Amino acid sequence: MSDSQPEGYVGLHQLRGLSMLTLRANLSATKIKSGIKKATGLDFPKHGMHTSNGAKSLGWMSPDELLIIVDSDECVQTIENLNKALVGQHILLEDMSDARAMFRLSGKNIREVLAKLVPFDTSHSGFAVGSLVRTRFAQVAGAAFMTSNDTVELMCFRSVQDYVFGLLQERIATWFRGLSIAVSLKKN
Amino acid sequence: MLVLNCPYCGLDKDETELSAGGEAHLKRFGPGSSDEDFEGYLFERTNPKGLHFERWRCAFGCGKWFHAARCTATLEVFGTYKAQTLEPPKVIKDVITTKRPGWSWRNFS
Repeated sequence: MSDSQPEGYVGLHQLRGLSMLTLRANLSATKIKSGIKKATGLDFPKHGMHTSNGAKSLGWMSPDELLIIVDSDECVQTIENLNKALVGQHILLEDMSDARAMFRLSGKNIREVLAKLVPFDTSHSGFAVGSLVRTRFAQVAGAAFMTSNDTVELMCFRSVQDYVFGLLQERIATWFRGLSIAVSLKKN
Repeated sequence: MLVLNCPYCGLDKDETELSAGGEAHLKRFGPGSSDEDFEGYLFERTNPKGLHFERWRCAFGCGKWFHAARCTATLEVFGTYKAQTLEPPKVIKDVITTKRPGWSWRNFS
């Protein structure tokens, strides 16, 4: 595979070195929200959204589930901070780092590529920047984070990462059939 | 294609992202109940042509169970609502009354 940077329409990268924590709690409780904000330094995400400062992000997964993504180096410290900030609250915090894989699609036509994989509306109005949608990619469960107008991050279970990677490659390739534009596919 | 709005994530979910859970508003009869009640709880289901109340799970989304009121003949959806209730909320009943005057389903009307 090529090591060059993505050019042309869509680039595909697998993201490594991330840790994921799942927090189950009543996410409408003020004490839980403020504790999470204090422990992570990020704003609490609205319904169906995620917040991020680049290195760290919080994602709204369901009314009682929050996903916390941090660099692997910060994982232990984040767990400690969260447990300290949420002491006395009814929560369950679990390190899910090895359960999931992340991919990043980048380029101006990612919405079109995504539309071939998912059943929801991938236009600006249906999937605004900041959105987090749990859905399915072809046949497997996953989640899509719209991080900016030209990047989307896709999460799936690690057990199906090769399937999703192949799927993305194929969908991008189909999009380019007949076009002489360079695509770089990089699996770090 | 059936599209239902999940009342927990607030998103329109396509049929392929949901899993069907059969009839809604069943009352459980467990140990100590009469044989007729237990049999009814296990096996007796209505299969109407028209208005029906069903359970659906946002399987590929937030994973929550919710209820939907829809017409099995036309696939018209009257509304979806959270499952933490013993009967359809008034707003759903009002919509059905507007569209299907004189409706009844089990002991709701």
